[in-house]
Amino acid sequence: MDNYFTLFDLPMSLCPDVASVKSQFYKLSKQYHPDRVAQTDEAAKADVLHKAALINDAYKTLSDPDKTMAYVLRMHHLLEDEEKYNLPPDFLMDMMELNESVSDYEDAPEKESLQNQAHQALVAQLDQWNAAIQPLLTAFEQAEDKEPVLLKIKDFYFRKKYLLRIRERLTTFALR
Amino acid sequence: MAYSEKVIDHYSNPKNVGTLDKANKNVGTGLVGAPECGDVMRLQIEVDEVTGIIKDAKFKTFGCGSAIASSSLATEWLKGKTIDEAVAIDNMDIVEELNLPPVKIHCSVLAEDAIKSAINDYRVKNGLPELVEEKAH
Repeated sequence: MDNYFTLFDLPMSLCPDVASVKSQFYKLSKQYHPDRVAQTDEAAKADVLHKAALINDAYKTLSDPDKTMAYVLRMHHLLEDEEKYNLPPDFLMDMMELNESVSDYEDAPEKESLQNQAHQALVAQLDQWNAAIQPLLTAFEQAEDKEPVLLKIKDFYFRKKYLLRIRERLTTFALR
Repeated sequence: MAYSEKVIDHYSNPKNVGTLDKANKNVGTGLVGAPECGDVMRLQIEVDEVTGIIKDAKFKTFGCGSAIASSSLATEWLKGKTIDEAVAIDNMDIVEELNLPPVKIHCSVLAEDAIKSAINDYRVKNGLPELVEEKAH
């Protein structure tokens, strides 16, 4: 796995500094621009293209907190593709209810109260998520042994997936 | 990706959408989620006290077409079966019936998990031990 943090010369973090990510991206993109190598040198051209793709991937990941979280979990071998991860039934129940309130709104889009209800319920869950993740982000920066705190973060990573999915439902429906 | 005709049929005409009274001791409720895509599935069975046969099954799924079709099909299959027969439903039976492509197999796994979870809820409510999953997906 290519290390995006090393590539961008940044310390490993779950919330990398936005401005630094951007400036490193511009700097590296310039440095590894395909126009900067001789058109005749096929090997150098391929090399630069590979590097440019890597820089783009790194930027896409590190400029998105959710993607960064997944990336750091993968770096520590704590996240697999299509992993079956069990969240507590209480949480699934909440997600069921939240989805149901979105459906109520979809069924009667003329009722503004239903839209507000669904929206507010989602915002409340997202706020709760944000409040709960903050101490874990700090703990991650400070911890010597990152694994225990990353395992807790993983739980939140999966919770967020449900919330993002519901947010997508709400936005897609609002844009219809 | 094109859905099979059977998926489209279950998706546009889902069978047995709804809720059973979760407080009823003859009702088993399974609630499962697919964290990668954020799907949630609730599947409920109602067992006839005398015959031990599943007399009703309902589901509610928030997810993709394949997840909805898988749970809709599962409720169809559950009705009229004994608990033992219901436990034997394998996700690959669902895959085959609905012609699910490899990327959607996890939807059928979710439906199988929901069946097992509903059965376990029913068993626990009735003083029976939980079944332990022996098959690893």
